[in-house]
Amino acid sequence: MSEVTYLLDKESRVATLVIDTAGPVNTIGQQFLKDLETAMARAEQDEVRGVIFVSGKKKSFLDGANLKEILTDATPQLCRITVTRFQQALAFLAKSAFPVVAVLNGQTAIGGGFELLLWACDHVFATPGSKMGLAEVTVGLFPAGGGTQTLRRAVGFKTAVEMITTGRVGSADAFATAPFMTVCESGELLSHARAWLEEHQGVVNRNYDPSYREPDPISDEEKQQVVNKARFRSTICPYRPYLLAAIEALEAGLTLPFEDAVRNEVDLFVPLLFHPNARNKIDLFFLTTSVGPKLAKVDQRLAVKADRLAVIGAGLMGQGIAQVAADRGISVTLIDVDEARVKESLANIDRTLEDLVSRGRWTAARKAAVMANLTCAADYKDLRDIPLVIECVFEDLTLKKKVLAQVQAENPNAIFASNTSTIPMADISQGAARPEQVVGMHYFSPVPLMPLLEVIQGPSSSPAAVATAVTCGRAMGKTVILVGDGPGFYTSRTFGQYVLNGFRLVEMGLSPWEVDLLALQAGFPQGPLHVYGTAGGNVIFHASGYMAERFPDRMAIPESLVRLHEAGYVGAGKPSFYLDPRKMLPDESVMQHIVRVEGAAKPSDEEAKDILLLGMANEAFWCMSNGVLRDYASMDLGAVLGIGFPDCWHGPARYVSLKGLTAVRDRLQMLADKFGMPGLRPAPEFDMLAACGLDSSLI
Amino acid sequence: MDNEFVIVGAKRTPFGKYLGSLSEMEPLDLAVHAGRAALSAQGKDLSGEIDQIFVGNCIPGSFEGASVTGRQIGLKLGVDRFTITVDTACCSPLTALRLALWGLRLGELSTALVIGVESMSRVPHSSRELRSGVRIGEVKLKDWIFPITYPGYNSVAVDASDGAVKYDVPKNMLDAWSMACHRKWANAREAGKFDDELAPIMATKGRERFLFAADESPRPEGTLAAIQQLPLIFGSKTTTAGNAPGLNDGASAVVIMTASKARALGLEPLGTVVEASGETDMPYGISWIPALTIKKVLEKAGLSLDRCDLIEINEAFAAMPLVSTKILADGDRDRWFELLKKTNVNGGAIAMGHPVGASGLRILMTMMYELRRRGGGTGVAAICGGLTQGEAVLLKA
Repeated sequence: MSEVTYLLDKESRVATLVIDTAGPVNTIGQQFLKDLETAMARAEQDEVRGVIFVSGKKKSFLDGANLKEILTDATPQLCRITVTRFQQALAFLAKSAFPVVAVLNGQTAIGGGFELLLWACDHVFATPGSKMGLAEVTVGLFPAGGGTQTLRRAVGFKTAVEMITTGRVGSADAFATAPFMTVCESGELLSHARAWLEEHQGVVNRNYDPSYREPDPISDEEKQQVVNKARFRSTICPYRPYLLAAIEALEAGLTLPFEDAVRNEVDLFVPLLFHPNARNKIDLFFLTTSVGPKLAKVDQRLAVKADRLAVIGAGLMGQGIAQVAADRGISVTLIDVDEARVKESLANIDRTLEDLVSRGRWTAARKAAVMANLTCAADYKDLRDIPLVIECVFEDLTLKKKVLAQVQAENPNAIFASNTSTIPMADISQGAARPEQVVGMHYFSPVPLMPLLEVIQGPSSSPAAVATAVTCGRAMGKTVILVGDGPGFYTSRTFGQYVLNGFRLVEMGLSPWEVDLLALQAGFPQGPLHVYGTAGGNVIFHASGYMAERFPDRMAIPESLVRLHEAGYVGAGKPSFYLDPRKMLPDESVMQHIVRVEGAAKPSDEEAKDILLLGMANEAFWCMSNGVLRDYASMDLGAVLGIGFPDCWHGPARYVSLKGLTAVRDRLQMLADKFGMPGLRPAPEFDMLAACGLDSSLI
Repeated sequence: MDNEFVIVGAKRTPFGKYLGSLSEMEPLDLAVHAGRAALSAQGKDLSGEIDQIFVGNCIPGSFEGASVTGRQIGLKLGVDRFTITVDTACCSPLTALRLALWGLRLGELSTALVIGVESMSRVPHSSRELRSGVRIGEVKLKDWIFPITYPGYNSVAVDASDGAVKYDVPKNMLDAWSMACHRKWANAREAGKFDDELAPIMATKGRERFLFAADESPRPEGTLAAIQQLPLIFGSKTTTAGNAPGLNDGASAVVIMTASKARALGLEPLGTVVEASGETDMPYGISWIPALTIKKVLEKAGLSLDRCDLIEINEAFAAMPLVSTKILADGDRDRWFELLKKTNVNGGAIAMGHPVGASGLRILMTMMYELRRRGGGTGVAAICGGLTQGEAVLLKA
């Protein structure tokens, strides 16, 4: 079947090109390119008066390259040919005698699909719900179908740099002011498009029009400054070559003519496909989209139908869970100690959503639907018919046990999911009337934005309880990993080790701000001490104390953490390592509470980065040894999506595979010995893998 | 009388994957190819020296004529000597070798040719219902290789898994061992380590005729994470397609003779067969029978396991080498891990494949050539067979 169908209206002589490629979303592969070229040739031969691109798929207009196909038996030569071929097709359409438009009816045009609109199309008609963006950097690549040159002509240079380096996808409304876009209702798309074609015979494509003025014009010096700023941000960590390539390509456009600048994209793009960090990102994309939904295998037939649920504890976490569930059509009862508090929480959700509506991110109808699904209560009697209860009260075992007892007294049949970040299910369910109903659902804050859910299978959790938690989590749109029980489970324990190692480095003589910078250089989104202030020092102090109690030999609490806590340096509005965590202005006064370790060697920069990165990886491997983690896919997915392990490395398992297991084990042992850090003692998992003879190929 | 028996030729075909390169080749021709290669391994044809032939084969139904398959092979090789075909499932070729050793020790033979062969791609589906006619309804065709099982007993995949559970070998480790197996094979192949044992074969498949020169099953580019995601099979607790070998095609052959005859013929002894033993246990004990058999052969030879430089335990499932070495280490973790480091050092059946009647001689020759590369030493090779029998060979090289 042709992936681009050519339909000619004899009377108007307007050709419609219907994109419908193999697979669930439209992608650009060899077949698409061939069929596009054929359709273009026919349009020229038929001397059409215009071309309209539409998609045969409901949700996808055209969403980038078919990466699996391109990477199969890829050689640099073949990749160069493919990218060049795509560019030539777009250039042909842009320079053709006939005008070209596209219509998007609530569909997405991501990456190469958006580039088709930006280069080949003279105008685009889209409904408000349509989405577009150049998201290539999120899969380890950058726009090389002209995107770095064509987007600036559509939205201005500054916005183009921002969109390309962040990979941000926006709805059509966000482009409503762009001269190439008309946002209209679904029923008007085609009539508008046809009328436009009729009125714009002989139009010169903006990319080839010397008189065309870019929107939001700024001076050349200002453009260079924008580039320099982006480069500064992106070069802190040297392992994201795709960001560097994107910036190079954008910068080249400041001096090179259009046609040279797009050719330059190809030169930058081809080596990227073979760069290990780019491959890590591509693989991570597939891990998230293809493997992720198949992880956490449960028997879905056992899952209790959770079309209603209750959230106990209406704090920030509870509000987030309630909002996300309500947004997915689940009716939610929000419960807290008194009515006033729950009402205030609902009002808070209302305000948050209203803000989204006013900024055009959400429709008013969506907000109304969420609010309609939310009810509040202050009485556990209201739990009687509710199949799933998610508990988000303060992280205190006695309190959680009390809540569990109260819930089971009213409704012993409800699945009781605890949104704890550290307390084992075994402890919570101990002595409960029905311990088999207890399961962990560990969400990440802020719940609406964080994609991960860690479901914890306690020793007593019934298969039905686990299946319900996993199924409900998926229904809420989360990527679910299923882990075994234990203090801090997988993510909190591993993240905790990262933060504690940050403190230990400071105690060994590095400045906190130096440590945070080194963390950024290693690829972490936020340094460990910065995290301390933003995540909240109180939470970290309590969790660390708990972990230290459970793993006394490997996770002892640093003295400085205790001192900071006593002195009220706990962030979240109170003092911490930064005067202003957003601007990252150091607060030197914090140093009075730091306890230097006597006689300790000061780690070099490389050693410090390894302590952070390998320290986190090592804890993940300990989780494998302890049976908390059961597979390496969950390890990598959880680490990147949940706790900020550098995405350019795909996750701990891939990182260790690339460095070599034996080399990593030896390095950990050396660091543990040299700096007296028992937490860095290599996990038994390393010995097991070495005994099996495996030194790489984990994931 | 002679009491030293040496291997003077050891060759095998590369192993083909299920329905792969060798799937349209007759098992008869595979066996003849391996036999010829072993007979002429030292540059002179030893056909005339052979006193008797011993052939191991599990599923004779894959031959065009399903009995005296060994004799068919002997005749096609042009060796008109008495030929015994034995079936002790996967133990078959090592049982055949042990029979040869008996004859040599008795002084009745001075030279024997031992062959193992299996073409799992060519095993026919069959039905017993057709002979008497089908009055009405469908006819069910039995598949002899899926699952591999015996009436009244568990599938071997289940027994292997239960053994891993019993001896506390976690699935994660079975999977890790399996991924490592592919990597070890790739490293060994890159270093040319299989050149000694492989006899490339001209293969025909469909209209294609090509030289088949390397094992076809290994997947060194895979990952442990991918293996971990595979589904459990046959209701087992830990067995998946990832920690088991495939169903394969191939043949292997060894020429064994008295040391004095080898000297007389001017042949270089590749290795000395010191001792061989067979052992049994309860029918579900298939994962640990290699350990019991190794203990038996070592005891018979008066040797301790510490004297062995290499161990080869056939990977009918990853559980076999892991459970068996754990037993041999008396459950001591450090000792177990040390043993693992000298077990199947160039990979095993999980990568190379397991043509069930050919693997026994394959593990023996892989180990023998590796010992030679290391300047000589002692090794023990063991294999498990259906309904829990084991064969082990102690070899010096």
